[in-house]
Amino acid sequence: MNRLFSPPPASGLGLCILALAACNNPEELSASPPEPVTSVAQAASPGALFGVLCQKEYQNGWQDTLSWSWNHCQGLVDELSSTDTKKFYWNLKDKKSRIETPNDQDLVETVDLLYLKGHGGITSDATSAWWPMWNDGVGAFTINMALGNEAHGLSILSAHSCDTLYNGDKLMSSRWKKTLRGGVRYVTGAWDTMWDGWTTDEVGEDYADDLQDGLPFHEAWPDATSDWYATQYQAVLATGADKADCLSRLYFMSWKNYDQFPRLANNAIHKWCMTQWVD
Amino acid sequence: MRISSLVLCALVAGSARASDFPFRTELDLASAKGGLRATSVALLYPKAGPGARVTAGRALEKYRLTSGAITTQGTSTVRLRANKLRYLGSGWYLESLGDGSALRYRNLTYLAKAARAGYPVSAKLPNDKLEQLGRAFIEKELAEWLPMGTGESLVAFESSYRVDSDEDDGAPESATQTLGASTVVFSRTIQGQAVVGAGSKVAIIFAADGVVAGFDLDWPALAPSAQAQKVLDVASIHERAKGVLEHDPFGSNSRLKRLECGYFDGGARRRSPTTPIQPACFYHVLHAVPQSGASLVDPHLGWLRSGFLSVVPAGASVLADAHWREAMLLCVDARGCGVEPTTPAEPINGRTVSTPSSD
Repeated sequence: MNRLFSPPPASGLGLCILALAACNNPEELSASPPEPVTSVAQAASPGALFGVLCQKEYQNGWQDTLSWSWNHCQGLVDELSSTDTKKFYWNLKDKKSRIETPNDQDLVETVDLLYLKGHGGITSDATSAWWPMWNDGVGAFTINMALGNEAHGLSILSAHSCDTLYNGDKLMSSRWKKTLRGGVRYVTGAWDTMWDGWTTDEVGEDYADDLQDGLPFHEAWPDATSDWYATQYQAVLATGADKADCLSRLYFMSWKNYDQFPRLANNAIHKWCMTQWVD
Repeated sequence: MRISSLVLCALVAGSARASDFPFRTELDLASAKGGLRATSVALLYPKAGPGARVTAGRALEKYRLTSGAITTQGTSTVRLRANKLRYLGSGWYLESLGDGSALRYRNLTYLAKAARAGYPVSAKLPNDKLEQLGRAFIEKELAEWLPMGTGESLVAFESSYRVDSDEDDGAPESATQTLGASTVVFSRTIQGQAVVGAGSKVAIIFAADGVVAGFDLDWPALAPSAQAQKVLDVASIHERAKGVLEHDPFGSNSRLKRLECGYFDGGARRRSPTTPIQPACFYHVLHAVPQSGASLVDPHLGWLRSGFLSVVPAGASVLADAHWREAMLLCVDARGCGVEPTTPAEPINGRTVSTPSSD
């Protein structure tokens, strides 16, 4: 199956229109590259929604300051807003209950894509991945999350945080089981360190570009977060009804076709698939 | 929480890695010991590239009739964004950045097909083979986009791999791993000095079956100038770093995971023909904050870790570079010198949403 760059008919048509000569006359393209276009097609779901939670400083300095977070996140917001609908762009102050189950329907479940930029890790007892909130001593934990089963229903969680998809102890799936059983379709993150600095300011913007172009998340995530100098340790995660379904989702799901993959919740999940970039 | 320095070192240590080629291992050792190992270096000026449209158009044309894993056959769509032009084909993309000195290609269909064949991770290409195959591909296919000046060389720098895995729900012991892809990265030396940063790099991506199915290059033509810059010794560079870096590389719970000194090339989106390439040391600082009950064995458990990247100018005097924070903080005779670059405003809850919300 080749679903790469194969969005639903409406979007495909849109791409052709935008491509002008390229769609019907490749030789003309060969002889003289067509005039580039500045507009891009909409995501698969009309009016696809995204939200961004981003944090730089933490209350009382309880976690390290991430000095370049606003650059990183603003790039994604600006770029993706040109084709899709920004539902929220907030920091992580007082967000625990609206990321976890009690009130997630009020925030993270109101969008198709949640982009989260901030610290992340694994708990000392290895039972959960988590993200510290701005609030001193407070975190949001995957064992308290079920995403995709309320309100609009989250489909993609992209977390630019260290370690949350760590699987060196083979407990990743147990840490994420409750979260994914809600039916969320795809997770992008890291299994080790995500290096950060002003040299990575374009990550959010590049990720948005790749999503708009229909690159599979499997390609978009490492593409946006890599520069071939500072080694990054990305990982992506999907579930499936069986192995073939799982790999299909892992390799081919994109911002343009994610809603063509039925949600898998609770006992419909039979396989977990993951890719890690390692050195 | 008190953690002994020995334990902390074990948790955050590790500079040289198996994926490093000898050049990078030696660069790290030499940089830690002596910085650039020079008292002065000639400044370099990037020559303006042909433009992203020309570079991408040339590559599009070159691979239009090929049928292997590097191909631009079929129809394509073109997207133009700030500093980026991308052709999107059926299962492939090709793009050029900035002034056309950067070019990238992926055949996603080929990469996915090879990955699905289920090659064992043990089938990954070793470093020496990656270098050999990578150099052969560069010489045959990419030479026209890699201008090499006098005294310049291409050096194998790092390798990396993509590993795919799957497991039955609730049965992590059932996990199987396969090879997804392999990558070799080459860097550049100029008159014996390394080039650090995202620029002056070439990455060759091999599908799981060993066939080249993608590449990234960011490689400007560089012209040496008669302008020389005196270089600080490594101790002075560290002192400077403490003054301009936001995270002390030698502070508590910190580890300088890499220190790499040479010319700094920030890549196609940060270069300008009017701004010289200056010497610098690139700091990779890992900081680990222990949480309650943090594991003393596994650095992933109970630690919140941060990787901070910073580039400290190594020249005794520093010239302004609008795309280099630390250079702007240290330069003295140009507009914007000595001032922290502005950043976007913090998102304020409930005030920056574009649609009505409940907050």
